[in-house]
Amino acid sequence: MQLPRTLTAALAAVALALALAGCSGGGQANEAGSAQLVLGNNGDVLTWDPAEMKEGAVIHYAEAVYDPLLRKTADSKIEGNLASEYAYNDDLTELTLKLRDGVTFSDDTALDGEAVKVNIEARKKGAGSASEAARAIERVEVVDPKTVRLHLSEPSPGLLAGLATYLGYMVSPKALAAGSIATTPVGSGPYLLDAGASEKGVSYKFTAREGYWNREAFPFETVVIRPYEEFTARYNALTTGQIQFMYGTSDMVPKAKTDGLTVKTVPGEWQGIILQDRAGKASAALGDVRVRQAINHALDRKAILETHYGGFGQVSTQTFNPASEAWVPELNERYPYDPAKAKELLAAAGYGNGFKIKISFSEGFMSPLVPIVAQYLSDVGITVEQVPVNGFANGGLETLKGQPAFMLSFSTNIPAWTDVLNKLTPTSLWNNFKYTDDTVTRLLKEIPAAQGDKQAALYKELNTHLVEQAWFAPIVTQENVYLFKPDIDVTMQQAQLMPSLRFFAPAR
Amino acid sequence: MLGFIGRRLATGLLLAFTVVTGMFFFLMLTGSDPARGALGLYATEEQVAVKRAQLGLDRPVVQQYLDWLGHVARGDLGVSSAQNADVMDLIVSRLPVTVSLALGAVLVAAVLGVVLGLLAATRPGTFDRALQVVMVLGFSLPNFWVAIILALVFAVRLGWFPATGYVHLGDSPSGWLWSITLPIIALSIGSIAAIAQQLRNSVITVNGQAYVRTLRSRGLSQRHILLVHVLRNASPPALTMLSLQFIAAMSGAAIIERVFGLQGIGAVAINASGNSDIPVIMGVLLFTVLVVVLVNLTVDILYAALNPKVRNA
Repeated sequence: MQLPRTLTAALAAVALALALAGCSGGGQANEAGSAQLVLGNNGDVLTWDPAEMKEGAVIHYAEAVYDPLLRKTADSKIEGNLASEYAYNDDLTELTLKLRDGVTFSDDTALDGEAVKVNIEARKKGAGSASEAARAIERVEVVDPKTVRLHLSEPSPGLLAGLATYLGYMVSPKALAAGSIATTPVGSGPYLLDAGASEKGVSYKFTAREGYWNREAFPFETVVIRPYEEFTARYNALTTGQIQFMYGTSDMVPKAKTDGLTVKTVPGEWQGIILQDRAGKASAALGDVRVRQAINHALDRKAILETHYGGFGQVSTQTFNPASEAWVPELNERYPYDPAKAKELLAAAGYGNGFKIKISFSEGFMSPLVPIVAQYLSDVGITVEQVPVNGFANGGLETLKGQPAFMLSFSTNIPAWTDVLNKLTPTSLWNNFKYTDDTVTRLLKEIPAAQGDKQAALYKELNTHLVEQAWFAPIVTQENVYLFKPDIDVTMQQAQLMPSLRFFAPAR
Repeated sequence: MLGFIGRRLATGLLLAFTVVTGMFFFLMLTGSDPARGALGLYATEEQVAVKRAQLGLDRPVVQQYLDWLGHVARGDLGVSSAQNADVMDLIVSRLPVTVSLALGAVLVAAVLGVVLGLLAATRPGTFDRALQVVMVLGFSLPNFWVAIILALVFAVRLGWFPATGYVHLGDSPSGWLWSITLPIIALSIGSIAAIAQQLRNSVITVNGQAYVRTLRSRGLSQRHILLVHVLRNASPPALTMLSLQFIAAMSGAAIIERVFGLQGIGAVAINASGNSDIPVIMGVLLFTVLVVVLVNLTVDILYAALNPKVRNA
């Protein structure tokens, strides 16, 4: 049977149209260029209101249109930005900020003390990550149009870092009053959102803002951000020139190198077990420090790093960022793989015949790691019941309450105080049994009241205590992987999921 | 005929009402928290409580349902709890992507499925067996895997098609066609195989019937008998298969959209599920159920046109 002529003609027309389209579509693939920076992002921006933004890759959208009061250097030290000077009083309960002259928002409103005050007050009321950083701020005093003083209920070691990101992003007070900021950003940042050239959820185009005070730090004329939830799509977009930069995964690295991409990494999240039932309420065994130490000795971290993580990362017994003030390199030698020692500790604790424990874990990316850990624990007599949990944001978090231990991937931060607030205080999200001890209680009072070397020493003391008491059983600190085209250069930034926009430049 | 269409339409709308009602209460029973989903893990309980009140989640579930239904009746699907967007606008803005993929996939599947099915039915022996092997292969390949391979070969390696992204038809018809070609191929492979296999079997069955032998004995050409008489009687099962493939394409598009970085209804649904964004989930569900009802109604009408006895069934 032959194909009808009309069908043959239709197929030929489709083929011709595709051929023509193929010829004319090349411009899109080469859209990225030196005057334009095209970034692949992990997800969409759901709101332009910094008070509602959560930490993560969304920072690139925010940094395009907003400028923070302070800013982070590549090693996450704090320096002035919109506030050119800042200083604490002696007891660290007042922070005075001196504002830079001549800064305006994109609606021509001037940045002054009143603008800072309404911004910080709005941020305190929000539900985003800024509200946590603003928690200790009791009152914002406008000393004069160029000077603002933050009055704190207590010293707050995370405040400066907060002012360098979401707490510090300045929004036009007019836009705040109008209530339109969630959908229309009006900031004092380096770029303007080009709404006409943007499509929600698909692509956002930002053009350089005339008169921006720090133009040389942002060399690109335009910035385009495209959200891709799927890693494969993001990688394909990168290799075909649709984007120039993406956050990747360690298993992409070998191929990325053969594809001519630049690969850079920085230490990122730690993965392992939170042994949260340290009082032994749900699992009596975990109440004994020797059992928690035995769990740490039972894990062959080097083997897991090589086989499960492909060597990307570093073995770790610590839960802080390696570049933070709390990090103590020697602590990584505290729990060498030693099953015999683990069994000895279990026997001394009265669990020579082993015991059973439930370990909850985030279903998905942690799923392959949990059986490996369960096998190592089984080798020393600990039987693991694996309890998958799905969707922490949607109620899954509730299921962790009362569970003796769970496995997740946890961010590590600079300053280390952010990690303290996340995991170590009695009200921390990841401390469901509200456990503490005398040493931790003391150090959590002393650290905020100290500065500089003294504070760093206290952080190290805290970290050493946590490792010795085996509050956790970390396995590795992973490397965050960044892939980009050779026509741009990106300076890596410690302890931030995405390097700030000012660390992107055309390749020299 | 009008009475037949009216009965089918009423049944379809009743089905849609039942499904969305059941789904609404099911979502409420799962324990997912749209307020927590919108605000994230680090929001305080007080903030979550305020958000819950803003979203009206502190009211009895039945009252929430009746309010939602009342708004739907006025064409208002509500506002996303996770992002500042009107649900109707969100769905309408993403509709062109998913509809392009689903309609394109069904069109390709219909054309190629019919051609391959007829070829297989009319060329028994080696050709038929070879085609059947290809059909089984096409049917068994997961479409997300096909999508990944197509993207790697034809977009990344050869550069013939864009690896990601969608071009609106109004912006550039050729760019639009270029951007949806690989996703449509990935989405249609299984459907082509299913329709071809179904049609092949039906044609072989009808070909063996007495009236076809009579037509042959009267000297009518093989092509005329096949295209005018056999195909008409063999097509209803394939038509059913086609409608099922359209519905499958609508849901399969969710995965394909992710592989090709397309922001369609599937991407909206997946993101909404991750955030417990019930207004968006319900909006997408309502839209999908209505599409299913519409497709089934269309197939019923076509059935009735092909076979008048169906109208009285």
